[in-house]
Amino acid sequence: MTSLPEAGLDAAHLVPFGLVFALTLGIMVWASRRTRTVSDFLVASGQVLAWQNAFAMAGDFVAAAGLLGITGLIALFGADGMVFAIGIIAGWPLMLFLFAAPLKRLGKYTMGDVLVTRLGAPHLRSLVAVTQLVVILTYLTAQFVGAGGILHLLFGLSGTTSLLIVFAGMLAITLLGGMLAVTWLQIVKATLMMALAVGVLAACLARFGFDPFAMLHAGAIARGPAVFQPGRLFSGSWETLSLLLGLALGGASLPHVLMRMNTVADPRAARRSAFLGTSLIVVFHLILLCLGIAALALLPAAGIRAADPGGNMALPLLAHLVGGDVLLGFVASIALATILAVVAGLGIAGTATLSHDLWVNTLRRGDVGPAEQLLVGRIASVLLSLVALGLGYLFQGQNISYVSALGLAIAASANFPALLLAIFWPRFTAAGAFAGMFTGLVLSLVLIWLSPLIQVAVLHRDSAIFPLQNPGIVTIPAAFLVAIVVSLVTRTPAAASLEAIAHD
Amino acid sequence: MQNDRVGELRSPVRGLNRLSLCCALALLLGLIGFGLLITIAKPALSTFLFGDVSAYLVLILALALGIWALTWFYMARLGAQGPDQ
Repeated sequence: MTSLPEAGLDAAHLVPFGLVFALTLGIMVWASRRTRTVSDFLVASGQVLAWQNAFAMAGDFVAAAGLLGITGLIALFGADGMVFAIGIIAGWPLMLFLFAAPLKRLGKYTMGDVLVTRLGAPHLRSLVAVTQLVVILTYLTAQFVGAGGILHLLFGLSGTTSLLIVFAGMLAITLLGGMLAVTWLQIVKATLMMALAVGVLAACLARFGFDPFAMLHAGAIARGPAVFQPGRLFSGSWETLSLLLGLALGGASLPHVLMRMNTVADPRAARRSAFLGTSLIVVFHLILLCLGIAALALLPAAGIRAADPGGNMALPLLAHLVGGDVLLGFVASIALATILAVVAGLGIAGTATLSHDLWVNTLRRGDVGPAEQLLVGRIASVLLSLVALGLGYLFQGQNISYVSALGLAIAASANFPALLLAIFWPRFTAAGAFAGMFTGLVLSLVLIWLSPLIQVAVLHRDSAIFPLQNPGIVTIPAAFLVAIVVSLVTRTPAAASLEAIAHD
Repeated sequence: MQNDRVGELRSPVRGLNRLSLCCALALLLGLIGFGLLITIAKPALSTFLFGDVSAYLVLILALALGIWALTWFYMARLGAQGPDQ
């Protein structure tokens, strides 16, 4: 069995960290010289190739929640942890089937643009912006928690200092590089991360004579055969269904991933990148399943919890066990850099929402020059980072996958119904969109507040009023229902006549 | 007003929107079925098929690969539908 690695500023930790930092800095400087316009900053002016976009999108998902969170959940709870992976994997094809090509065809920056263009109601933009900010902030919080945990494990820094370093990193990448920098950071980091994950897995399998069944058997002996049976993590069907729906529908409608559909040249490239991204994500999550099983075979649950109560440090601990301080240094540094790239991507999406949707199109009604828009965008980055820093502090010690799942549940409730109906239902009205999004957003926030994750885990109360960890099973159908009913009620006679003509 | 931009969002290729919606529905039904099975068929999923490989583990792997297969099918059908600009 293993003991916790000794944290500190020694060469084995600093050299890998320095190499990854230099690589990140190089990409940022290179990209910043190519970022001149608002379109460059937000969507890389549509110049990204399909395979590059696929790696970048996959990079968005192989950061904290997947790499650290899911491995940790499998290491602590066994096969049930893979349910998170199934939900995340399912979000990709949904995005491919429903949103990839339509969003590129419309050629707009944000979800606010899409709904306003489709429904012709500028007042929708403020609500869409608020919804996107809530989703982005929740997702950002999970990344801050993961990165803070890595810095603490690697260098022994306090939680607050770790979070401040992540804050500085996010600002630097977002302000200097823009979307081109984030895209290339994601491509490089996703490739390195997958290579390292395969390397760590190979080193683990070597301990079992490269026999995966022997590793599985060791896991069953260490934790009991029940780790490969259902029922250790979820209380019942509603809990599992709620989580799966929240992850899948939320993953398909995440603002920072949807924005990537506009970084490629045409709808065909958008679809191809979503398909390649799906393939990468499936392979990566199967590797995570194997790594999780290796962790439960080789690491004691108490040791994993001692490093991080949420189980987020299982993979770095596994790397330390099979490859010593150097492998731990590389895994932790690349995980950290990947998280920073995701954080920066989220920062850009948040910046686009604050500057483009709220400032330019709502407050200034479109009367803004490119220089002012870029300046406002950069100020927005700072504000967003500060709020995420505070939330990251509050959620320290929680499993990252659970925290990410909350962001996804909000996206699934507020974004997914509105986007789907806007694209596929001609009778959808602006009032229906407003009512559906408002219901999805407010109801999911209220139920998350009343859930065990906040009431029990964060506020340390004995029980919670809402019994489920994830509100998706209630909030998604409610948002759909309200959007459809309000659209039917508010449909004008003129619109109804137009529809009748269109269907003839 | 609310209908005049639908055409820009939906695909101009005949049958493609139906294919997209059908594939999305199949995926969602698969997910819901999986979520229900975990509780309803818990004893069956808890059995070990060979060695330490449980039926639950096999189902999870099959679902992950099934989701990928569905996207492959969609892209293959899309290839048969001609250009989509």
